[in-house]
Amino acid sequence: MPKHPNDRLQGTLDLLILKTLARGGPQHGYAIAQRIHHITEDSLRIEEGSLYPALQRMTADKWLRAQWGTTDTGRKARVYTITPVGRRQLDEEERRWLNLSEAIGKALRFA
Amino acid sequence: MSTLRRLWNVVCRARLDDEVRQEVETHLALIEDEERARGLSDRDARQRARSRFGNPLSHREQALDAVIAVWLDTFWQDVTFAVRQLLRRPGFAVSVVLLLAIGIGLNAGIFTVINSVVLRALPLPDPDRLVIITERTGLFETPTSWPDFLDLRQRNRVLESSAAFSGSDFVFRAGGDARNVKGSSVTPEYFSTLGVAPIAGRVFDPSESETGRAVALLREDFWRAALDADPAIVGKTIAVNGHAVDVIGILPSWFRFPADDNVIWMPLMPRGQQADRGWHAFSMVGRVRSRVTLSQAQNNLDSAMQELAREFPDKNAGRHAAVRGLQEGSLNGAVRDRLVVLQVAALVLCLMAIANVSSLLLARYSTRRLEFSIRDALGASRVRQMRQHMTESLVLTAVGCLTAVGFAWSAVRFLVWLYGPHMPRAAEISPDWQLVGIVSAGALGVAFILGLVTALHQRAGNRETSIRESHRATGNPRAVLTRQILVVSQVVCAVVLLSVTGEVLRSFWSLLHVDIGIDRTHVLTMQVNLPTARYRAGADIGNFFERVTDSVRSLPGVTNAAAINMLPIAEWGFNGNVNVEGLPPQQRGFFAEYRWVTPEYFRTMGVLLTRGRPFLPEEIAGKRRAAIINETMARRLWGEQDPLGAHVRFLSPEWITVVGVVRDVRQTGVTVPPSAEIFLPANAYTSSFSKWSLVVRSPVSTESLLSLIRRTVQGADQEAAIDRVKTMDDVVVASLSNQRIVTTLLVSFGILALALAALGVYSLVAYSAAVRTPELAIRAALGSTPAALVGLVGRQGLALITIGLVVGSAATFPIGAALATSVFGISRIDVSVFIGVVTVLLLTGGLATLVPAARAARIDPLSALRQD
Repeated sequence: MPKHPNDRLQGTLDLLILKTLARGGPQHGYAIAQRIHHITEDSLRIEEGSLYPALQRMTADKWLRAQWGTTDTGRKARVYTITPVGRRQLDEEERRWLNLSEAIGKALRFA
Repeated sequence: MSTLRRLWNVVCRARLDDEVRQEVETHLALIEDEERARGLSDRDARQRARSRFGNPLSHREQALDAVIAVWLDTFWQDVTFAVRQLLRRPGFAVSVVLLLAIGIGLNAGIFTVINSVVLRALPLPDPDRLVIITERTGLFETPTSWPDFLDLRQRNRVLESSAAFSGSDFVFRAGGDARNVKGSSVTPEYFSTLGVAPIAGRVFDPSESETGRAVALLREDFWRAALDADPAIVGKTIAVNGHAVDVIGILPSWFRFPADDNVIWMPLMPRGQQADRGWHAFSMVGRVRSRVTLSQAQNNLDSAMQELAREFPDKNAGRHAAVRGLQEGSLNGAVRDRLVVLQVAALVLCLMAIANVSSLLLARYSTRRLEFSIRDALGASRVRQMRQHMTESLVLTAVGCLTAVGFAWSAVRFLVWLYGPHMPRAAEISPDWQLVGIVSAGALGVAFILGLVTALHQRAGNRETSIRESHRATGNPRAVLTRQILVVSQVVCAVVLLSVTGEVLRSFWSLLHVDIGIDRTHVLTMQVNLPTARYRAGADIGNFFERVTDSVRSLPGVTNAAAINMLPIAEWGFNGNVNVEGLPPQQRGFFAEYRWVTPEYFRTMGVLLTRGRPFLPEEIAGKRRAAIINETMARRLWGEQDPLGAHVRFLSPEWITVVGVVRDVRQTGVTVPPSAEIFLPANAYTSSFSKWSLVVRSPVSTESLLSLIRRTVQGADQEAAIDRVKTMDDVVVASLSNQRIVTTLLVSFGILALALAALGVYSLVAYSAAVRTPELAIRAALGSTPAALVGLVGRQGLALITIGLVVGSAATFPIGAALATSVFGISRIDVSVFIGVVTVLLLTGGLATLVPAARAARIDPLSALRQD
């Protein structure tokens, strides 16, 4: 399987998607993208299309469940829900991220 | 995610792709809606959506790549592309597939036969420990005699158990028809020694062979076919040889010992003369104790045999024991050697086929250079291009492989059919995974070779020049050189294969015309088997045939008729030691064949009496004992002296007077030099073996005569079974059937080799003519004659053929001689054969050159140049 060019970035995207779904409940791809833009205040500049490889992979890994539904404007869209496996994954990723940023913060303070 | 899931997703690729596309479309539409709501125009909104989303196509691809097995997907794309490419040139694809199918299939087929017949163990428990024991005197190998068998069994220390058997023909009668079936008489230990158990009933117990109760075991398939699978057959009575015989058991269909067509087993009960130490009619099979080697068994049995030679010098002087493994013994050595020759020939053919396929691939590769260069220019990696080549050759070999399996199985069936009864263990040959395995292994090898050939010509040239050049299609010089080498090697293979084939054909032809001592034209032969129940004494049998031949002789259209107990060429005679009155003891063990004949035999068969006289009436009637001997016996025993009036003795204690000498007749085969032979009048017949051969000389056609003869014979005895009706010519041909089969196959291989070589030459010349079209067109425009153009194009082909012939000639003599000597006893390849082969190759190769060259020479310069 081709690795994303930046593992850390991929991990970050996964984390953001999982967090978004855990907080905001089932959403389709567009809504997830808007939400991420919104919470990060547009500081993370990612192409919205790059959500889809991540969504596909996480669905295949059973972190998410996908169901076809319709948007408010009546378009066909796939709605993603986080699964218990996904929640566990989220907890772990979150902890890892916090540990990492704490460690880097320390390093930056004392260097 | 599991690999399995990824693999499965490759299959669902279209659906997955659809779903993602739907999602992406929605997403883009939603962004557009949002941007329009902010007041952007439709066009700007669409552009904005594109920039926020990124390249939809590449995101979609990545989304799919995240969940499917990419390598397989790429491979699948390559395969579909390769298939499309091949379908665009069906002629090319079909030729390659056929060539591969022939090359691989032929080899796999022959190997399957060799494997089942030669290599696979007999379907009996511990087959390695089973041996066949025979006796040997000088050059001759004979079965054991009954007393020898009993003594060997008792005196040896190497056999766990052993049994004697003797194959024979039985007259089986169900309903009104008497017919001849193959069976054997065996001692009770036979089945336990071989390790076979009946599927119903039981085998003989020792008392049955002593009391002589008439019982029989039948083979399962015979019981099904001839007795309608009667479920209550065990305990019922059938009619065999005019006796009522109780069926006591059924043996499984796979049990085919001693012969493939053996369907009845009865107890062996040697009586009278058959139990004589000089009567060699019983084969001996033994199971060697575990951890005893074949050579230990050989030594032990031979020393037992030599003891017997000392104790019974009259009958056993000079006799040794010969021990062979059953598998080896049951296999005709000649069949094995010839199968090996066929395999070698098939391998050569396979190489030629591969050479042809490589050549075709190279030509195709050269014409597709433009395509490859463009792909290269567009950024296809070298590895990716390589993979595409490999995939194409893989697809070709895979289809070739499937065709080859079918072809191989037909080859197997054909071989079995061709060999017929001469193929031992034919019933065990069945299609199996081994066959598929061999084909796949062969195909893998072929794919590798082909991939290598193409890979070697992956050109590392400048893109621009190759794009510019390929437009002119001058041909890749390295590929052309390789193809030239391939063509030369094909011609070399063809020379060698055709020379061996030609020599085998020539020697077969001369075998057909060997003087066997019989005037064999217009002689009809048939076997007549009498029910032993009513012909207990040998003389009864002899008298019957004297009577019958008298009546047959008086039939209209019959010139002469006679009978003999063992027809020369077709059957082994009885044989044994002959004592000659007044000869020193060391010549006591003189070995000769015995045959019994009715009085007109020599005249019917055209066997010349060179000395003495025919049998006199009182000798025919048995009032005086007389014998006629052949020239070999006269020469060996008496040299220049007159054998007439000498006295000989065998089988019985009375002396017999030699009254005549006849020309040698080849007894056991066309190629086997005649051995010493004694003929006695039919009346003196002493065996209970009731099958004789009738020989009838008549210029009338076989069919009209046969029904008359049949009526006459069955008029004399309604239960006489007539079998194997053949002209004497056919008997000779049939005796050579092994040679004939191999010769036929080799000749067809030779023709195939010729065709392959011609195809190689043809395709190369046609290709280079096509490549040189512009040049030829210019030459034609400048005034070259068609003849000059033919010469220009054809020169290359002829040069290659000549080189091939020269190299081939150098290789033929050593290779051909080695191959031929080991198998056919041919010492060298005859010069006339070689000249013939060279001529045929030159003519065929010349034609293969001339046809495309002539077509190229008919070029219309205008249209050809405009095309460019």
